[in-house]
Amino acid sequence: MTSTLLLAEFLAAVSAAEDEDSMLRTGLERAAEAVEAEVGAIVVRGRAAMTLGYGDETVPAAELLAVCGGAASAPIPGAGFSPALALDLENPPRSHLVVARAGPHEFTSEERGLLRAMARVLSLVVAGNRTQAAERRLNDELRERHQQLQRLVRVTGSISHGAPLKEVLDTIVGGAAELLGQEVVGLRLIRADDPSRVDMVAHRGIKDDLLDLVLHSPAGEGAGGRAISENRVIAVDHYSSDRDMIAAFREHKLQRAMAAPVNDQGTIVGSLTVASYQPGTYTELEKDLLTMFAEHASLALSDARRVAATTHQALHDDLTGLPNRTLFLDRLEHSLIRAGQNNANVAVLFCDVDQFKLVNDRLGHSVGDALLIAVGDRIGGCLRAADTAARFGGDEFAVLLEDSSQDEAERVAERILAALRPGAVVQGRELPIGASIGLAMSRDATKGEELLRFADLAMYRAKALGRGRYEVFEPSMWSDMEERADLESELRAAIAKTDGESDLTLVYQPILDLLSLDLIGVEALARWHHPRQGEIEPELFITVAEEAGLMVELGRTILRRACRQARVWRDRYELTVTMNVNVSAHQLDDPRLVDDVIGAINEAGIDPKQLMLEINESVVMQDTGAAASDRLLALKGIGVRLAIDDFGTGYSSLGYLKRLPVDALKIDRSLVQDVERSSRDLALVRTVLSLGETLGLDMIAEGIESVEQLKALRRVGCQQGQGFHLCAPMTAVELERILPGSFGQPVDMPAPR
Amino acid sequence: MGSSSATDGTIAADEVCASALIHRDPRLLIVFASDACDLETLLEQLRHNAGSTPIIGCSTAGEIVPGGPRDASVVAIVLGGDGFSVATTVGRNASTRLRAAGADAAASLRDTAVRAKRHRVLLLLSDGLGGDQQEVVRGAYAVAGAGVPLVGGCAGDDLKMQRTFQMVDDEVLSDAVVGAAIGSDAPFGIGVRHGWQRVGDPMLITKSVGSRVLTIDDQPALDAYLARLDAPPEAGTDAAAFTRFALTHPLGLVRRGGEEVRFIAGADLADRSIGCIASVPQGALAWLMEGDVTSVLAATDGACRDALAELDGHDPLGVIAFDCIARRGVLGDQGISREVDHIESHTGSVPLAGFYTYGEIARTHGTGGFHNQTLVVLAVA
Repeated sequence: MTSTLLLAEFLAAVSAAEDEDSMLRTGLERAAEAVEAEVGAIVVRGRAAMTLGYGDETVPAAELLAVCGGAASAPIPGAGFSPALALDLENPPRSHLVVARAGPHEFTSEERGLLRAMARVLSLVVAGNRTQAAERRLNDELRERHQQLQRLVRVTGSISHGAPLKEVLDTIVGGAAELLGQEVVGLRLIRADDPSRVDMVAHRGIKDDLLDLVLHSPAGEGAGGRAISENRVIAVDHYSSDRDMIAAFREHKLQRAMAAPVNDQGTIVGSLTVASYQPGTYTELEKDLLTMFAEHASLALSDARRVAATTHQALHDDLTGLPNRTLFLDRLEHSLIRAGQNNANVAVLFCDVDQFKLVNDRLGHSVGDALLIAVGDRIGGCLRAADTAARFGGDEFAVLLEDSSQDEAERVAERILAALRPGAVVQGRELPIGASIGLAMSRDATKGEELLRFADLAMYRAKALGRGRYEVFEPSMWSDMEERADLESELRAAIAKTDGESDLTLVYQPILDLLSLDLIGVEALARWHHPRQGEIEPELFITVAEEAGLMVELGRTILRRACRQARVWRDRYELTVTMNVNVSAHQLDDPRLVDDVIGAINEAGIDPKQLMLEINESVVMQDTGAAASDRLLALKGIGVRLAIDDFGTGYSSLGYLKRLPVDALKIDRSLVQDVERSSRDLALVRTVLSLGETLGLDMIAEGIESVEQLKALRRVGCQQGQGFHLCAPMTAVELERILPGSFGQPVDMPAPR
Repeated sequence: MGSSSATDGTIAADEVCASALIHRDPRLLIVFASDACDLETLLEQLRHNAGSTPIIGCSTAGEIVPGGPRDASVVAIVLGGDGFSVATTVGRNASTRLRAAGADAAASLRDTAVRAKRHRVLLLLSDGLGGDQQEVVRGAYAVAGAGVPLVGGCAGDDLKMQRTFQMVDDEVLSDAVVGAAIGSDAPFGIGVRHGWQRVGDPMLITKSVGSRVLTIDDQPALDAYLARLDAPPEAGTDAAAFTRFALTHPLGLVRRGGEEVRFIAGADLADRSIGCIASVPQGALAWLMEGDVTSVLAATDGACRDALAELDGHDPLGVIAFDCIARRGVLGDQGISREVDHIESHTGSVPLAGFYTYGEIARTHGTGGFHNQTLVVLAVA
């Protein structure tokens, strides 16, 4: 609801009250409702005269008083100390209106402005009522005062119909003229492009020849100028003798003028001036009334800006300022209609930033946001004025090309890819940008949503074909979608089947002592041999599992099978090496994780210490909630060990190492791959190793693929490792075949590939 | 918890009590009954069966029981054990003194045994046909204060819109607000969700009188409304078709904490205005709202999750649902039984009772607490 409307309703409600108590009570309740405050009070002369929201509870009188003295919070039953605000009331004398609201959010400047205006209205109504009650005689002045209040109700009511700003400001100017009995009224606003000047945006009673002289003027002139610079009501009772007043008005024999500042959410933006050709003296009541009209104008300006902003906000993406999905679809529908009429073609490009999640997770949201802004800018730079680029949230952008052939659209897609290719420098860091683009033409679809979906499908194809490219939609992509759905249900079935029957199997990659090459542990990895399609890449079936919400079930199945295998090896070969099992973010978020792990351990009958759960560094770096940390602590409590996987790829703090009960770090392959060539990488690994030593952690190097890497790692004292050079992942049976023997390749022999 | 489809009050009372009163130490019996059942006889027999246990209840526009919604039936749920303390009071002649009636119904919170409990909630069942229910909430809030949440709904009469009934202890009343102050050792959980989504751009209510909207964005309200929504042509010419269409497309008024939903009851085809169930202030910023089975059911899930999450890890003992009759309109017969399935998927085998309301009450923040088109879920632990 707009502030002006709330204020008009407020005035109507308090004016309708019969006595001072009910005026204050109604004022308190309506003010609290307007800002959704839970509690409030009217404090008179240091005493909480009435309260709201404390029910039968003891009223915290001292704390409410403290708010009047400047404290920013007050207690709310059930919510504790919460943001609070006190507004001065001029009547009753020495009183305040106090409100407090549960939750962390302070009152906004708009809410403060509204409450201030409400407090002033309440004071005026109470003052009118008091005068009447005290004097007990209805002389002309008092009747006038009462009538003024009635007129005020009418005028404010007519202000608040949500009309265009110009109309609202005209009504305010007219109301001020009528209520204050002044012939001349002017509302001036400081120019946005030149703050030293003001424009008269609404006026009353200024003759045409004079208007030309005063329509645009220097900001400091006249009563209005003084009100702006001193931020208070200025009353000039002798206009002609005041040198600071405006010459043109003086020449027209203006007798007196009064002005009040107008603000937009606390910043002074102009002034409201009333003036008369009749001599006289401005009273306090008249000053109050003018202030009230000025506040009305202030609220109307804020409202107008907010409505404009809200409309813009509803249709645009906050981050990039580009149209959002709603506006994009609207434009798309319209251009489809136009294209239908003109026998033209419309093209839609669906553009997804490659690996964006990785950037966001590893480098933080601010870097991710800056990257998205850069992408939006570059896409925009590749388009004609008539085309539309939009952001749909996340890393998804769309482009609408009006009246475009497929050839032209493909050229735009190529231009966008080329424009993104140089990468971007964000916060001093050079980031590669890639995108996958799907293109669909209006010949394929009649509805905007449908066309967009087709472009989306084509984008997925571009991603599947290796990213950094574009693909044009073809109807066959639909059937691919269906295949994907089949894959989902087959994966679901594979997870549900028992060990022997399932085509989902586990392989084990040995983790070795880098010096003796003795077997220390194995990492269990899932493989899916599809009955028709053969071996499915782990990356693909993990994606399928994620999209189908199967990650928890998949993880649980792997965990149980791995634990059972550990038991088999113990029974058959007295082998008690560590069994490493990967735990996904989805499992970590799942409340059943602890039960699942305990169940798997108990079912297999293994020592919990034999199980090591691997959690990816990117997962623990995202704010693992308290619940997830508690789960890890609980697992630690029963003896299970924890390793951080892919360690060293994250850039932010290592605070999680203190927060989480970690036993081992697995050094990411990206750190290991150049360790024999790059002294910088070797130094990095050395630092990581000494960090591990300090924290008492086992350090395992991943991805050792050459004898040189192995040597280098030995040299810096890394004790454990895994990788193709040492031993590829193998089935349980294969592993058993070489069990008593040595696992690693001798150091001086070439690596088998 | 027990339910019965008998319309004979005595039989219905015996049937619901047979399972609802298993508890040895009942503290409050809550009953929701269609007025197809003889409510006087029902209450008399409930009193006979329940001894001195406090009773609170009301008539409905459909009942919510495990397994699905019912019509023309009776459902009761009993809170029992020394974990609970309960007191009841009533506010009479509510339509002439809405605020005072709300305060009267909240007076039960002054009960010493209730006050002694760590957690409290005030259950309110009101006559929604009797005037602005926000006034009732204001009156109750003046007594309850910010520390005690308010929850409940307005009684129904199977959509006859003539007369609703409130029950407390030995009395069947109309034009009343009945209140039960419930104190508990364990926390209460309250979930409030509506499940409507904004469609398109915001708009201004440029002219309105009370609950009637005359113009939107300076165009005749009916035409502006239909144009925005891509409505079927007959909705602009046939009043019944309009009402059917409007049932699933209410107005959302922008408030600090989100939207306040206004159900659109009908249109005046001559002057092109539209009429809502509660007031729509002139000058308000509004959105058209759209709901479908998916979004309404998602709100059901959300309300249940919110309510259960507030139990701080305690297991729920019972769940009471106050569900707007208009949501039933959106979901249809099939959807509405899916809604109850959704509720049960969260609450499991915990006793569940509720009814279809003419307005919902839930005050957990701010001072406003009267809702339209909303599902309110109270979880008791």
